[in-house]
Amino acid sequence: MPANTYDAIIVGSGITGGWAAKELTEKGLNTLVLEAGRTIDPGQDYVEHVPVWELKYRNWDDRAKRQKTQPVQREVYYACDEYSSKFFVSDVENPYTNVPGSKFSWIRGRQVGGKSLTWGRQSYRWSDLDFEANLKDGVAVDWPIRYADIAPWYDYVEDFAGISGQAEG
Amino acid sequence: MIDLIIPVTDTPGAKAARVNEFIDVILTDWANGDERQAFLNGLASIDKRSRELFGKDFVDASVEQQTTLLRAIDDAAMAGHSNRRLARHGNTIPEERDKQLQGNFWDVFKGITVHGYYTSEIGFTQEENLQIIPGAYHGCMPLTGKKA
Repeated sequence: MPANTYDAIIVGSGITGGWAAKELTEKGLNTLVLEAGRTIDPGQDYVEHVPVWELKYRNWDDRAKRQKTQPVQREVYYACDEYSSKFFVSDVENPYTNVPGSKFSWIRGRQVGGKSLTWGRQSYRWSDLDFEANLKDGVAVDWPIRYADIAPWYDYVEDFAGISGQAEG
Repeated sequence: MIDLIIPVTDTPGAKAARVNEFIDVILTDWANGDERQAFLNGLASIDKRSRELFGKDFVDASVEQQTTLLRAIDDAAMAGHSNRRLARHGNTIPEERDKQLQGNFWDVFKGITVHGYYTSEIGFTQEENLQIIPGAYHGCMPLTGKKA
């Protein structure tokens, strides 16, 4: 196989990797995307149209298996369920460690599209309440950016992704 | 019993929706040993009550007798619910998850019957008239008095 040279190599095809691939290729860069997970066929694999009576446990889920293989992923109880658990990683095959005494629930997908397939379709802009939180709470490091820096990029991304909102009062 | 909880009306009931098969799957593949035994004990207690009241097993009693017995159990169970939030099924919050077969037998039995019915094709499409992909949204419609 001939050696290829790329201007950019992107690891992961989820929301971040996917967006990076879009931007870089649109700007003319020869781009390679690497994805560890399996490919997805929307006609076969998507679950939005699956009627609940086609689920063996009618969405009570195979809890024994879920507790064993996805104890962390199933914390996202509204998404990692009998329909969609296949879009979340196996915690058994993907262990990680925490600082002793702390808790971090690392929720991951491992397929083409990554967590864009399980994204809940709500995207709220952060405000300076969020950007200034570390400073105001005296926690960790003060982030070097504020809402004003990000606002035009929110516009840019939301326009493409079709994210919209309305002042409902 | 499922047929008495959700009988045939102008839509098919729990028996037509094969809720008994759903209960079988849950007892066989989903329940742990304790839950299975508790459920079977609960069914046996219904028979015991039936024999005490009518001198027959539940399945041999008349429909009127069966209804009387279950209504008495349901009334007693309902009276005990005033402060307790009932278990939710499906995408339920972690504190309440996995407990569908735990607790008072009648609550468990009624709960699994109702869940098995409303997640069946009959319950979902006929009784509830739901669609997975809803059609158009009609913002302004005259009231007709018909069921939604």
